[in-house]
Amino acid sequence: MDDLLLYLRLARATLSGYAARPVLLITGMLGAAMAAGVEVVAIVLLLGRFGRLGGWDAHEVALLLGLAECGLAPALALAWRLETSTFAALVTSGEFDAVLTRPISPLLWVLASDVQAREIGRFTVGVGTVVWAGGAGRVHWSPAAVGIVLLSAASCAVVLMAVHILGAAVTFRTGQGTEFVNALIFGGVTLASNPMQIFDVGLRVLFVYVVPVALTVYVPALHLLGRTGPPLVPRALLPAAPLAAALLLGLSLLAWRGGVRHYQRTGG
Amino acid sequence: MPAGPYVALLRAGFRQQSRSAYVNFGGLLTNVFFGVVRTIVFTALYQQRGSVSGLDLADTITYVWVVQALFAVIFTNWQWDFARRVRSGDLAVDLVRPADVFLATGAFDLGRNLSQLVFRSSLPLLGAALLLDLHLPTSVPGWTALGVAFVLAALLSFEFRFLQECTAFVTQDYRGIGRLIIFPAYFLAGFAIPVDFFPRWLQTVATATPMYGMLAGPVHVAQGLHVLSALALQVAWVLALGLLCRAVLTRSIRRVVYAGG
Repeated sequence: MDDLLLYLRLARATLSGYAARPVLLITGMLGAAMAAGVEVVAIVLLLGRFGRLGGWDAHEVALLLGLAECGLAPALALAWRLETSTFAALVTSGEFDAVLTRPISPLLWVLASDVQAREIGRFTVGVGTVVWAGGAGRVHWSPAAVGIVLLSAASCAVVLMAVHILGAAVTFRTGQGTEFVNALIFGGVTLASNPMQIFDVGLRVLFVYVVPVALTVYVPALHLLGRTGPPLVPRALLPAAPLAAALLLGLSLLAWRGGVRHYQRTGG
Repeated sequence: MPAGPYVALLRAGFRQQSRSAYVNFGGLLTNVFFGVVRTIVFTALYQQRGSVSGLDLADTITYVWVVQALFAVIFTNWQWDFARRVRSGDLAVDLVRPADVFLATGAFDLGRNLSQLVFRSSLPLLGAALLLDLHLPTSVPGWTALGVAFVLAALLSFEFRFLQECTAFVTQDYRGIGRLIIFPAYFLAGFAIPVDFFPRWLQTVATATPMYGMLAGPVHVAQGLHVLSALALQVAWVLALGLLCRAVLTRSIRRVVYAGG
């Protein structure tokens, strides 16, 4: 608990650094907003030409995209310091030794040192997309529906953060960044922004049951849109979304701890 | 103008990029993954229609894999090395050297991009060509044209980045400007969806920018659609941007020198 409070203080200090460079923050937020916005425009234009994707229309697919962006934004904002090549540099340069001397869990220290406020831009676009897509897709915005959106975004964010942490744990042992992590995170989000029925069993299992990005995005969307899912991805999986996210996070934290111990054993 | 130093820089860039094989392999996997996902998505989209905006499924799958081939070439070298040298003042050292700064930086960059093209870009594209139904060239002139288009795209990518990095001469926040430019450029070039699927007016806009030469042009060359005009546009933009880069660099240096920097 103390650690978490300390994390919040450190993170706030990191964020207050932005106050000194407002232009950096604004251009960053616009950039992040555009990163997400480009995807939304793309799907709208694409489905304008093609009509439907896997039987879903533009608004329904855009809802998936919006939910995914709402999950990606906090994950990128909080776990940016774990970005694979910069984290590899932290480990190989020995700077991580300094982290280990702090009176706070090394993971929380690392995370607090670089909080990307610019991802608010992406989050805003995500929320806007969910609101617009839901409205046009005649989603009934009951409290339950809003709760489902929050559940989706939070679970998705936790899953993506867990992947970041797992990637960092691997970096402790290999001493190198791994693009594979980026493939899982950004590739996973890209995949989860599409309705799961178009993907074959292998990819469905991978992104619903192993790296459950699609579980946290598609299944909630099924409830919002009043649709049923394809084989292996039924609506009933909704409660599994937060559970799977928590499980993956737990596994990633264990892996991280193992990685830190490995780092300490090998002399740092 | 002796070619020696430029060739040396080209080779140095090639070697440097080729050394980070592990990272390249990871990048390759990422490309393959995205290629697979987008192939699946387009296959699903085309289930109801045979041809959209003049492109059939094979044309669009070809587009998907050319995107993956060129993605690294256009974007991953965007690391602001030149801009950092400008801000730190290290550029002064480059100015004293006999080689032209623009051409020297370009030679090294081209070396890196050639390495990307050989070790990263070509493999997923060839793999896709073997395993999927693509509309790739089937003749030697066709393949040569595609190779030329890729190299021209690499040159355009360099010049575009160089121009953006020249903002480092006037501001500390060149990165912020870069981030604002990347996404419109990414979109207009057709990385998000093929330019052919844009609304008419946006297609016209996109084709009139150098971004066309970075992706949409090479895609058309691969698909065998208006190959000669695509190549011609690429060449024209390489020359035009090259002249612009030169002009901007000369003026920027002159201003810096006057300021005693």
